[in-house]
Amino acid sequence: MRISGCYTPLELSQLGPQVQVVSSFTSVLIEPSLRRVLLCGDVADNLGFTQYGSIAEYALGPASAAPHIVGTLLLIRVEDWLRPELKAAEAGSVDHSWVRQRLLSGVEETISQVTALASRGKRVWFVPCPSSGWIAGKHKLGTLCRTYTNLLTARVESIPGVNILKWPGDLLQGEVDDSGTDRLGQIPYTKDAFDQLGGIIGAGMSRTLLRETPPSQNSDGTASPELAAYLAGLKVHVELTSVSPGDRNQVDRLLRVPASFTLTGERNDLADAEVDALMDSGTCMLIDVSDRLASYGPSGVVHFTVDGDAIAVKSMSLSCAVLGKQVEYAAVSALAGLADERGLSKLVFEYTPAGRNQPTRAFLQSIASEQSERVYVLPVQSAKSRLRAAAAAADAWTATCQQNSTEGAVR
Amino acid sequence: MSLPEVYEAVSPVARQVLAIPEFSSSISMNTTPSWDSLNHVRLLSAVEKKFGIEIDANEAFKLTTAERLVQYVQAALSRESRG
Repeated sequence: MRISGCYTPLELSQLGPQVQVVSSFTSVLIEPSLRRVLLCGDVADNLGFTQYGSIAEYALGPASAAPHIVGTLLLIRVEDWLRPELKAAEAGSVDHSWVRQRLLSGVEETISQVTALASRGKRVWFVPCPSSGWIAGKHKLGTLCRTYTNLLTARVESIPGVNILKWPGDLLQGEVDDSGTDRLGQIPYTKDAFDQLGGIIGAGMSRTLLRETPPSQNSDGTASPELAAYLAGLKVHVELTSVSPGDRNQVDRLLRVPASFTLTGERNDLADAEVDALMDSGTCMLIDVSDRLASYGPSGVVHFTVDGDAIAVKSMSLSCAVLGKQVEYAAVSALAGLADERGLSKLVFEYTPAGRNQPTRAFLQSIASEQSERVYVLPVQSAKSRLRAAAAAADAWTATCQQNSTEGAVR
Repeated sequence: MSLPEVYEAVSPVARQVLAIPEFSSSISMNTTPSWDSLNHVRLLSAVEKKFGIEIDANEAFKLTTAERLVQYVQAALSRESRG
């Protein structure tokens, strides 16, 4: 099982048929039972997973049209759209008009993504998941979320080529919702519930294949203009700010937890003294992210040193919630601006291969020159053009960099 | 509860979630392959249910060793009994 975007061309050519599971929440627990049913039904050999903010990049980009992709299973729970803003909000403090606006935006975004997916000539299955989780419960938004789930489902029904699979609530035995794992890790259901869901949804998917003839391929597999337009409209803004003592917990979390976009890999073994040293270094910065839809707060961390005429980036991590928005491009452009201000000629990235951080290497390979397996160099003078060339939507972000008392705006 | 008592209470939960034969102070995310990020969330949630406590989401990422987890639970239970 691999998160999308990590395959080499050789690996791609060797992949068996794959269904991509795209979900607004953590859904990997569905893998064993779903894969078993799809394998038995001769639907697919493998499953891939795309989660949270990376949905748009998958749906609108070329990955969804890759030859080995048989189809896409969408598991969407509308309350997840509210999470960035509401996870820290006090119960009873929510502005319902804001919630309605946010949910309507989410419906519109999802419809454009599902429409794009349906145009790829691949199967699309859509499961509207009930918003009975931690966010909806805490803020008493169950009824409102149900309304927008129904709206979303009705809109998806009108998209040709999409199979809607009803949520099998009445078939699920035992405890289904798990508000504890939902609060701690955006995992909405118990393991048993996921096991059952995989079997039931997989069977539903197989039945649709028996009924229908395959959709005709009408996409050349690039699909980049839609993604570029989406990203341009997102208006992503990234701000790098020097850490202050009150940021220690954030820095600690952002160094330890991110798994797919991180130079150093997951650092569960990070010692408190190492975090203290980074905090005191003067060159550790938080990456604050916002876009048109939400403010995600501190969503990444970068630590660098100045070595000769280079900024040496020792660690850089981004949380999963902001992946798929070109935040990494914005952050690197801010660092390049900082280097330029200081009269430095290059950025040097030190990459450590780890279990799941291949997407980080893929990003570095797309923007920088590989000096060795672990060292990537990006000249400051060509940073802007290289970032523009590699990004799906060039210049679709703004980035500012505030280091201590020095402010700098970069574009 | 004393630390050994908390260990004894957490142990069956941890053994079930992580599918390990033994839960002791030597167990950590680094040393236990089944203790991945997914099972970390499931373990913490199961501990919350077992003891009727709520683990602060901002602290959850630090509880990646048996020792830290058990100490956290002990402190949480102490606070509850005083409060």
